[in-house]
Amino acid sequence: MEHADAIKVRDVPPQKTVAALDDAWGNLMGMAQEGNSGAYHRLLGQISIWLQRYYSRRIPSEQIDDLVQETLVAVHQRRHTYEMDRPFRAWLAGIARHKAIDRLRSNGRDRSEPIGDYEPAVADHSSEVGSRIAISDLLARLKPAQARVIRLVKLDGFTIDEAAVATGQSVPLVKVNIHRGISRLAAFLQSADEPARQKGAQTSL
Amino acid sequence: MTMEELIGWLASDATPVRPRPATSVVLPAVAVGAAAAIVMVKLFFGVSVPADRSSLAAEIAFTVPFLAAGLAALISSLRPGSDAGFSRYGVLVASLFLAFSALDELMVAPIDWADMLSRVGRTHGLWCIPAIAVPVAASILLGLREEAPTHFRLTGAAIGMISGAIAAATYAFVDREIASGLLISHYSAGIGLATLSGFLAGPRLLRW
Repeated sequence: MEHADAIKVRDVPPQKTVAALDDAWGNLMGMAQEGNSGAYHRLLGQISIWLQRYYSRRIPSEQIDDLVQETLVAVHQRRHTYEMDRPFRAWLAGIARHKAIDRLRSNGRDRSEPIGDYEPAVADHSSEVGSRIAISDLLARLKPAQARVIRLVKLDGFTIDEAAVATGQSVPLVKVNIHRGISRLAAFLQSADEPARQKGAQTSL
Repeated sequence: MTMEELIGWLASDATPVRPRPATSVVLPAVAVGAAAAIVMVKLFFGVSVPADRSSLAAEIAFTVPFLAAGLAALISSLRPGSDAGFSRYGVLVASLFLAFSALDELMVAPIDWADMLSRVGRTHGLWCIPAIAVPVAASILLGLREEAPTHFRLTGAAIGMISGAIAAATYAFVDREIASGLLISHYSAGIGLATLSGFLAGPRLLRW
């Protein structure tokens, strides 16, 4: 029986398997829209694999994981825009393409900004104004939703629940945005420090 | 954060959501914007219905195709993965028509450009229609803040065209003395400027 079933799957034309996948994911998203967290969990797991393959052809490999996570958050925030009478993969590909273009654009912007511009602001630790400018500069590199919750929770002393109320985001989403925002800042600061560390290494040689 | 952790958190936040068709988002926002435009015209410009109703009807009818093209493009551009297709060309064709109709009229009717551009009177300047379009555009943008457009310039241009068309239609009720031979270029410039503003501002205002 299993052998016959395997043959049946192999014989299905590619268009039909894609359509079947569309139906399966569309159904899972429909259940997720009704609040079924188990279906939603399964769907997110399956589409994360699809997104990794999608981005592997389009962006640098070291950024794939981060972009997949960013896309999953976007899917979560905009899941109400999926209509079940439309193909799910087209909807997902639209979001994925939008995020890829955004990431490629910000990669291009990052390369053109001289890292030296940030040194004066960060170096002046004694000046509160200088620190505020430095922090604002850093937070400006994040998505607005991430910057807002980090500012509220980490700088203004809000609790997670208070930040959720203030921003209209759910509590899990506030946590996700804080986590991802801080990771992004850490990655940026690490790459900003890299030239100075390399210079120091060369001098000591 | 690992992928599994993120998926776990997002799945735990699977609150029920109600999908709505794009029309049910766009049309109320447009209606609110139109109401705001009417209030603005009443407060700042003054309203009068001309004795010659046929010219009023013609002015309003001129704006209808642009409103329709803008709505078609906007509704089709709000869903990720949806093919804007023909509606994208509708906005392009409408924009070209605006430009050519204005040029055609200006080639026939002599115009004092210095006079037309320098008019700062309340009801005569070229700035009137774009100014009235602002609250319409603001209402639509507010209504779309939870949506997911992925073609920012097309969506921005569509919002601009809708706002310009509604502004031009309400401007038809303003008591003013534009030479009838310059109406088309006046309306075309207003709608065109609103469309162009939306096209340029779209990537900045619609990002999500």
